[in-house]
Amino acid sequence: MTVPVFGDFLDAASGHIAAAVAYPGALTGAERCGVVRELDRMVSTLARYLGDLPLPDEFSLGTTARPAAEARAALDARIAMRRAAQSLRPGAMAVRGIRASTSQPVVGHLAAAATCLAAGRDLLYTQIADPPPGAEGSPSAWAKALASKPVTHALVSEIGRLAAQLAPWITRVALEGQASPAMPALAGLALHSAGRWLWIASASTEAAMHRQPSLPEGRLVLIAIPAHLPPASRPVTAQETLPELCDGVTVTAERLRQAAVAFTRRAHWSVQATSQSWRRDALASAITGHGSELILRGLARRAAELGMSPAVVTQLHHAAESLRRAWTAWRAVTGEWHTLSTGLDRPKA
Amino acid sequence: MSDLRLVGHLQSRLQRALSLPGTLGVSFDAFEVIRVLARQSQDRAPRLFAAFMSTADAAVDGREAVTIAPSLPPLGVSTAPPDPAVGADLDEVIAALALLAGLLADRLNCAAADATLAGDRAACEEAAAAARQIRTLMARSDDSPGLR
Repeated sequence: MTVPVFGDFLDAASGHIAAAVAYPGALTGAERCGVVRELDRMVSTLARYLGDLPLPDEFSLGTTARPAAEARAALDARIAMRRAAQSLRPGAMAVRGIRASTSQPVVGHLAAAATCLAAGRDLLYTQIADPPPGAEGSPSAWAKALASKPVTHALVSEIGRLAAQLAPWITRVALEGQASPAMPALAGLALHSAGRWLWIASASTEAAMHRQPSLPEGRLVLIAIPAHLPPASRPVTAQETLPELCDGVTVTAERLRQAAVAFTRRAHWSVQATSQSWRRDALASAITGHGSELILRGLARRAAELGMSPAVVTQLHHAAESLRRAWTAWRAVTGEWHTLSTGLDRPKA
Repeated sequence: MSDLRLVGHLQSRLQRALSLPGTLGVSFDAFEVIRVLARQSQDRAPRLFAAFMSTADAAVDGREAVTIAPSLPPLGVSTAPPDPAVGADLDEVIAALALLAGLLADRLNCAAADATLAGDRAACEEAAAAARQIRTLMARSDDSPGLR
């Protein structure tokens, strides 16, 4: 199974946006309504991306320290993107009742881009979801990478690039649609205002990149961030090659690791974990261990009779001895559970 | 009292117990004696290890079931654990355990039928099931000298 990475969604969104803004034909009023609706989704998602970034607070109280210039520029981009999203909201509300088919190429591309961006943000969230307290290896290496400066910088750069693609096109669509009776005036104003704020967001990120250019390594890591999801189960089949078996071991180990971490988040005492269940576990372990030791002793004896390598016989004896120690320990555990359940005496009156 | 004589003593106590509290009290002791005898015998023959371990486990189940019965009498003069049964013949131990478990199952079934409290009935039925399991584990098959 190929694990989806953030780059899959970012590239797809970028491609859809490029296709939408390159559309040569004119848009009808109803189609422009569809554009407003899909832009509302997309720009809101872009604003959330910037909102997720670990930037200094915009209005920190009790401090006179000014953020660094590139952080200031990123903050400006975040504010501008939020304004763009806020501008589009009334427009989207105004066109709510107007039907606009997503089969129209521009609307379809914008809808697909909005979906890809939302999915990409969801993917990033699989890495930064709250880890269990004290969990081994948390936060994940990818979560640390995502919070790092080069990757954050790359993400701001990518958002700015998308804003730069959208801003002039939105402004053009807003100007073209002013005379259309099929489009509410509020929607036209929303487009116009959103275009202006996207220009500002684009310019702000460009300024930030100018002050501190984004490293190519940051983008490489960003687009390689995988979904933090357990790989699909790989049931054992009768005919597997050695590489397939090794791959299956890796997949199963990763599934177990993620299951262990997930379990600790909602760990509680199982209702099935009673003294009886522990006693049964110990009993089963003692009996299977005892039986296994007998089998290994028999194999060792037979190997000696057949004149096999002494090393094989010795290894079989060692394995049998290890099992003997294991099952005798389990036998002792069973005995403890016999008395831990209720004790030997009857309850007092 | 040593090993198998104690089993005989419990059998006669079980047969004499007429009341539900009396049956429950003797059953508690009987399950405990079965558990201890099974544990003492578990390492005497490797092929019987699983059977004796499982018998001891079933005896704990039976003892646990009896313990929650509302009519179980308070602590009285309990039967002391048996002395080590190493001297006894293993076949005799198996036969004695099977006999005691069979008797326990019968008496607990009767007690369940007579019980007026639902808690007593459930406890007796559960304990009888444990006794039947012990009897099955300790029963010999017709064509084999070992256990079934």
